Amino acid sequence: MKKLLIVIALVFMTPAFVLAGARIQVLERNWNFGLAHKGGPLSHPYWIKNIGDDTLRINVRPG
Amino acid sequence: MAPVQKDVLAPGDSTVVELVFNTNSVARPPMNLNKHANIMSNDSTLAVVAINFEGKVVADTDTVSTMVFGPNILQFSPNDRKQEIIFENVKDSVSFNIKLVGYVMDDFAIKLPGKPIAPGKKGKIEVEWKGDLPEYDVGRSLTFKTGSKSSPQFSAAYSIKGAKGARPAPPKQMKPPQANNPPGISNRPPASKEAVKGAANSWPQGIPVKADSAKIENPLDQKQWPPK
Repeated sequence: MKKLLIVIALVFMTPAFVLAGARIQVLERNWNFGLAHKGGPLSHPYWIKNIGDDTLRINVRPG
Repeated sequence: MAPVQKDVLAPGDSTVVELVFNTNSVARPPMNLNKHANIMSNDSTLAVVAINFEGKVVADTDTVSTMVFGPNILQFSPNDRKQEIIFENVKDSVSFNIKLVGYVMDDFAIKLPGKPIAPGKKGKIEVEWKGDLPEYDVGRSLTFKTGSKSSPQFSAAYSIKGAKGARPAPPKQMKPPQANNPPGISNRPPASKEAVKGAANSWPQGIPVKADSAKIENPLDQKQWPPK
Protein backbone atom coordinates (compact mmCIF):
# COMPACT_ATOMS: atom_id res chain seq x y z
CA MET A 1 0.00 0.00 0.00
CA LYS A 2 2.82 2.36 0.90
CA LYS A 3 4.51 1.64 -2.43
CA LEU A 4 1.31 2.38 -4.26
CA LEU A 5 1.00 5.71 -2.51
CA ILE A 6 4.58 6.54 -3.43
CA VAL A 7 3.92 5.69 -7.04
CA ILE A 8 0.78 7.83 -7.11
CA ALA A 9 2.65 10.70 -5.49
CA LEU A 10 5.40 10.44 -8.09
CA VAL A 11 2.89 10.45 -10.92
CA PHE A 12 1.32 13.65 -9.62
CA MET A 13 4.69 15.28 -9.01
CA THR A 14 6.11 14.51 -12.44
CA PRO A 15 4.27 17.21 -14.46
CA ALA A 16 5.34 19.85 -11.99
CA PHE A 17 8.90 18.67 -12.25
CA VAL A 18 8.82 18.66 -16.04
CA LEU A 19 7.39 22.17 -16.25
CA ALA A 20 9.58 23.68 -13.58
CA GLY A 21 11.36 26.74 -14.89
CA ALA A 22 11.33 28.28 -18.33
CA ARG A 23 10.90 25.81 -21.17
CA ILE A 24 11.34 26.67 -24.83
CA GLN A 25 9.35 25.04 -27.61
CA VAL A 26 10.33 25.68 -31.22
CA LEU A 27 7.67 24.30 -33.53
CA GLU A 28 9.82 23.82 -36.58
CA ARG A 29 13.59 24.04 -36.66
CA ASN A 30 14.34 23.43 -40.32
CA TRP A 31 13.01 25.29 -43.32
CA ASN A 32 13.68 24.63 -46.98
CA PHE A 33 12.79 27.59 -49.21
CA GLY A 34 13.39 25.51 -52.33
CA LEU A 35 14.34 27.50 -55.40
CA ALA A 36 14.72 31.26 -55.25
CA HIS A 37 16.05 33.93 -57.54
CA LYS A 38 18.94 36.17 -56.75
CA GLY A 39 17.77 39.71 -56.12
CA GLY A 40 15.50 39.75 -53.13
CA PRO A 41 15.15 38.77 -49.50
CA LEU A 42 14.29 35.29 -48.31
CA SER A 43 12.76 34.88 -44.92
CA HIS A 44 11.09 32.43 -42.63
CA PRO A 45 9.44 32.85 -39.24
CA TYR A 46 10.17 30.30 -36.52
CA TRP A 47 7.57 30.11 -33.78
CA ILE A 48 8.69 29.92 -30.20
CA LYS A 49 6.58 29.30 -27.12
CA ASN A 50 7.32 29.25 -23.44
CA ILE A 51 5.78 25.99 -22.23
CA GLY A 52 7.34 26.27 -18.81
CA ASP A 53 6.12 27.97 -15.66
CA ASP A 54 8.75 30.69 -15.43
CA THR A 55 9.73 33.62 -17.64
CA LEU A 56 11.64 32.62 -20.76
CA ARG A 57 14.36 34.94 -22.02
CA ILE A 58 15.68 34.44 -25.52
CA ASN A 59 18.44 35.83 -27.65
CA VAL A 60 19.13 35.03 -31.29
CA ARG A 61 22.48 34.89 -33.04
CA PRO A 62 22.96 34.23 -36.74
CA GLY A 63 25.29 31.33 -37.34
CA MET B 1 1.61 40.84 -15.13
CA ALA B 2 4.30 43.15 -16.43
CA PRO B 3 4.31 43.88 -20.14
CA VAL B 4 6.18 41.16 -21.99
CA GLN B 5 9.10 42.35 -24.05
CA LYS B 6 9.73 40.75 -27.38
CA ASP B 7 12.58 38.66 -26.10
CA VAL B 8 10.98 37.89 -22.75
CA LEU B 9 8.12 35.43 -22.75
CA ALA B 10 5.80 34.82 -19.84
CA PRO B 11 4.58 31.23 -19.36
CA GLY B 12 2.31 30.34 -22.25
CA ASP B 13 3.41 33.28 -24.42
CA SER B 14 4.83 32.89 -27.90
CA THR B 15 6.85 34.93 -30.33
CA VAL B 16 8.51 34.64 -33.70
CA VAL B 17 12.15 34.59 -34.70
CA GLU B 18 12.58 35.43 -38.34
CA LEU B 19 15.64 34.50 -40.35
CA VAL B 20 16.29 36.77 -43.31
CA PHE B 21 18.77 36.20 -46.10
CA ASN B 22 19.55 38.68 -48.84
CA THR B 23 20.11 36.77 -52.07
CA ASN B 24 22.05 39.69 -53.54
CA SER B 25 25.02 38.42 -51.58
CA VAL B 26 25.12 35.29 -53.73
CA ALA B 27 27.91 36.05 -56.18
CA ARG B 28 27.49 33.26 -58.69
CA PRO B 29 24.23 31.32 -58.70
CA PRO B 30 23.24 28.56 -58.72
CA MET B 31 24.30 28.12 -55.16
CA ASN B 32 23.00 25.92 -52.38
CA LEU B 33 22.50 27.85 -49.18
CA ASN B 34 22.50 26.56 -45.66
CA LYS B 35 22.18 29.19 -42.99
CA HIS B 36 21.46 28.76 -39.36
CA ALA B 37 20.98 30.74 -36.20
CA ASN B 38 21.06 29.84 -32.57
CA ILE B 39 18.25 30.68 -30.20
CA MET B 40 19.76 30.93 -26.76
CA SER B 41 17.55 30.90 -23.71
CA ASN B 42 17.40 30.35 -19.98
CA ASP B 43 15.75 26.95 -20.45
CA SER B 44 18.02 24.81 -18.31
CA THR B 45 17.20 21.72 -20.39
CA LEU B 46 17.63 23.32 -23.81
CA ALA B 47 19.84 26.39 -23.60
CA VAL B 48 20.61 26.52 -27.34
CA VAL B 49 18.27 25.63 -30.19
CA ALA B 50 19.63 25.71 -33.74
CA ILE B 51 17.24 26.77 -36.47
CA ASN B 52 18.14 26.08 -40.08
CA PHE B 53 17.30 27.68 -43.38
CA GLU B 54 18.29 26.11 -46.67
CA GLY B 55 17.57 26.03 -50.36
CA LYS B 56 19.01 26.93 -53.74
CA VAL B 57 19.46 30.37 -55.28
CA VAL B 58 19.33 30.23 -59.06
CA ALA B 59 20.03 32.72 -61.81
CA ASP B 60 17.37 34.21 -64.08
CA THR B 61 18.82 32.11 -66.86
CA ASP B 62 18.53 28.85 -64.92
CA THR B 63 17.96 25.97 -67.31
CA VAL B 64 18.67 23.12 -64.93
CA SER B 65 15.59 23.24 -62.73
CA THR B 66 12.34 21.72 -63.89
CA MET B 67 10.54 25.00 -63.32
CA VAL B 68 11.08 28.70 -63.94
CA PHE B 69 9.28 31.56 -62.30
CA GLY B 70 9.36 35.30 -61.99
CA PRO B 71 9.63 38.14 -61.33
CA ASN B 72 12.68 38.07 -59.08
CA ILE B 73 10.91 40.24 -56.56
CA LEU B 74 7.33 41.41 -56.09
CA GLN B 75 7.26 45.09 -55.24
CA PHE B 76 4.22 46.37 -53.36
CA SER B 77 3.26 49.89 -52.41
CA PRO B 78 -0.03 51.64 -51.58
CA ASN B 79 -0.41 52.40 -55.28
CA ASP B 80 0.65 48.97 -56.45
CA ARG B 81 -1.08 46.33 -54.39
CA LYS B 82 -1.53 43.55 -56.92
CA GLN B 83 1.30 41.46 -58.32
CA GLU B 84 1.55 38.18 -60.18
CA ILE B 85 3.99 35.31 -60.03
CA ILE B 86 4.24 33.56 -63.37
CA PHE B 87 5.76 30.10 -63.32
CA GLU B 88 6.27 27.39 -65.86
CA ASN B 89 6.47 23.66 -65.50
CA VAL B 90 9.32 23.43 -67.97
CA LYS B 91 10.22 19.81 -68.00
CA ASP B 92 8.96 18.08 -64.90
CA SER B 93 7.48 14.61 -65.13
CA VAL B 94 4.40 15.53 -63.12
CA SER B 95 1.89 18.36 -63.00
CA PHE B 96 2.45 21.08 -60.42
CA ASN B 97 -0.20 21.35 -57.74
CA ILE B 98 0.68 24.70 -56.18
CA LYS B 99 0.09 25.32 -52.47
CA LEU B 100 1.27 28.04 -50.13
CA VAL B 101 3.41 26.77 -47.28
CA GLY B 102 4.68 28.39 -44.11
CA TYR B 103 3.30 31.26 -42.11
CA VAL B 104 2.80 34.54 -43.98
CA MET B 105 3.88 37.51 -41.90
CA ASP B 106 2.10 40.19 -43.93
CA ASP B 107 -1.51 40.65 -44.92
CA PHE B 108 -1.99 39.13 -48.38
CA ALA B 109 -4.81 37.62 -50.37
CA ILE B 110 -3.23 34.92 -52.51
CA LYS B 111 -5.04 33.26 -55.38
CA LEU B 112 -3.49 29.99 -56.51
CA PRO B 113 -4.03 28.29 -59.87
CA GLY B 114 -7.34 26.49 -59.91
CA LYS B 115 -5.95 23.40 -61.54
CA PRO B 116 -2.64 21.46 -61.75
CA ILE B 117 -0.07 22.85 -64.17
CA ALA B 118 0.96 20.16 -66.61
CA PRO B 119 4.50 19.78 -68.00
CA GLY B 120 5.15 22.48 -70.57
CA LYS B 121 2.40 24.75 -69.24
CA LYS B 122 2.47 28.04 -67.38
CA GLY B 123 0.58 29.03 -64.26
CA LYS B 124 -0.18 32.23 -62.39
CA ILE B 125 -0.32 33.13 -58.70
CA GLU B 126 -2.08 36.38 -57.89
CA VAL B 127 -0.85 38.17 -54.80
CA GLU B 128 -2.69 41.15 -53.37
CA TRP B 129 -1.26 43.08 -50.47
CA LYS B 130 -4.11 44.14 -48.18
CA GLY B 131 -2.14 45.50 -45.24
CA ASP B 132 -1.61 48.98 -43.88
CA LEU B 133 1.35 51.07 -44.88
CA PRO B 134 4.32 49.92 -42.79
CA GLU B 135 6.56 52.47 -41.15
CA TYR B 136 9.68 51.14 -42.85
CA ASP B 137 10.30 49.03 -45.94
CA VAL B 138 9.55 45.33 -45.55
CA GLY B 139 11.41 42.52 -47.33
CA ARG B 140 10.30 38.91 -47.03
CA SER B 141 9.35 35.93 -49.16
CA LEU B 142 6.46 33.59 -49.89
CA THR B 143 7.10 29.87 -50.29
CA PHE B 144 5.03 27.54 -52.42
CA LYS B 145 5.19 23.81 -52.88
CA THR B 146 4.62 22.18 -56.22
CA GLY B 147 4.08 18.51 -55.44
CA SER B 148 7.04 17.65 -57.65
CA LYS B 149 10.07 15.73 -56.46
CA SER B 150 12.42 17.59 -58.78
CA SER B 151 11.39 21.11 -57.74
CA PRO B 152 9.36 20.58 -54.57
CA GLN B 153 9.32 24.20 -53.40
CA PHE B 154 10.09 27.69 -54.61
CA SER B 155 10.13 31.06 -52.91
CA ALA B 156 9.19 34.45 -54.32
CA ALA B 157 10.75 37.47 -52.66
CA TYR B 158 8.67 40.57 -52.04
CA SER B 159 9.11 44.07 -50.76
CA ILE B 160 6.59 46.52 -49.34
CA LYS B 161 7.41 50.18 -49.54
CA GLY B 162 7.25 51.79 -46.12
CA ALA B 163 6.24 55.35 -45.25
CA LYS B 164 9.74 56.29 -44.14
CA GLY B 165 11.74 54.22 -46.60
CA ALA B 166 14.50 51.89 -45.47
CA ARG B 167 14.88 51.29 -41.77
CA PRO B 168 17.75 53.47 -40.55
CA ALA B 169 20.85 51.72 -39.32
CA PRO B 170 21.21 51.88 -35.56
CA PRO B 171 24.10 53.83 -34.06
CA LYS B 172 27.40 52.01 -34.25
CA GLN B 173 28.37 52.63 -30.65
CA MET B 174 26.08 50.93 -28.24
CA LYS B 175 26.08 49.38 -24.85
CA PRO B 176 23.82 46.37 -24.36
CA PRO B 177 21.86 46.16 -21.13
CA GLN B 178 23.64 44.61 -18.20
CA ALA B 179 20.77 42.83 -16.58
CA ASN B 180 18.25 40.10 -17.27
CA ASN B 181 20.28 38.12 -19.75
CA PRO B 182 19.81 34.36 -19.69
CA PRO B 183 22.58 32.40 -18.03
CA GLY B 184 25.46 31.94 -20.38
CA ILE B 185 24.39 34.75 -22.69
CA SER B 186 26.90 37.50 -22.89
CA ASN B 187 26.06 41.19 -22.96
CA ARG B 188 28.51 41.65 -25.78
CA PRO B 189 27.25 42.03 -29.35
CA PRO B 190 27.57 38.95 -31.54
CA ALA B 191 31.10 38.23 -32.58
CA SER B 192 29.90 37.00 -35.94
CA LYS B 193 30.31 39.24 -38.96
CA GLU B 194 26.61 38.81 -39.44
CA ALA B 195 24.82 40.99 -37.01
CA VAL B 196 21.36 40.74 -35.64
CA LYS B 197 18.88 42.69 -37.73
CA GLY B 198 16.22 44.46 -35.75
CA ALA B 199 18.33 44.02 -32.70
CA ALA B 200 16.49 46.97 -31.30
CA ASN B 201 13.97 44.27 -30.50
CA SER B 202 16.31 42.57 -28.09
CA TRP B 203 18.81 45.26 -27.24
CA PRO B 204 17.21 48.68 -27.41
CA GLN B 205 20.57 50.36 -27.93
CA GLY B 206 20.86 48.61 -31.28
CA ILE B 207 23.44 46.50 -33.01
CA PRO B 208 24.80 47.05 -36.52
CA VAL B 209 22.32 45.78 -39.04
CA LYS B 210 23.06 43.61 -42.01
CA ALA B 211 20.66 42.07 -44.43
CA ASP B 212 21.68 38.51 -43.67
CA SER B 213 20.20 38.25 -40.27
CA ALA B 214 17.91 36.92 -37.63
CA LYS B 215 15.46 38.94 -35.63
CA ILE B 216 12.79 38.53 -33.03
CA GLU B 217 9.44 39.72 -34.28
CA ASN B 218 6.51 41.09 -32.38
CA PRO B 219 4.62 38.50 -30.40
CA LEU B 220 1.67 37.60 -32.54
CA ASP B 221 -1.89 36.96 -31.56
CA GLN B 222 -1.77 34.19 -28.97
CA LYS B 223 -4.89 32.66 -30.47
CA GLN B 224 -2.82 31.85 -33.51
CA TRP B 225 -0.83 29.21 -31.62
CA PRO B 226 -0.09 26.75 -33.04
CA PRO B 227 0.32 28.62 -36.33
CA LYS B 228 -1.38 27.08 -39.32
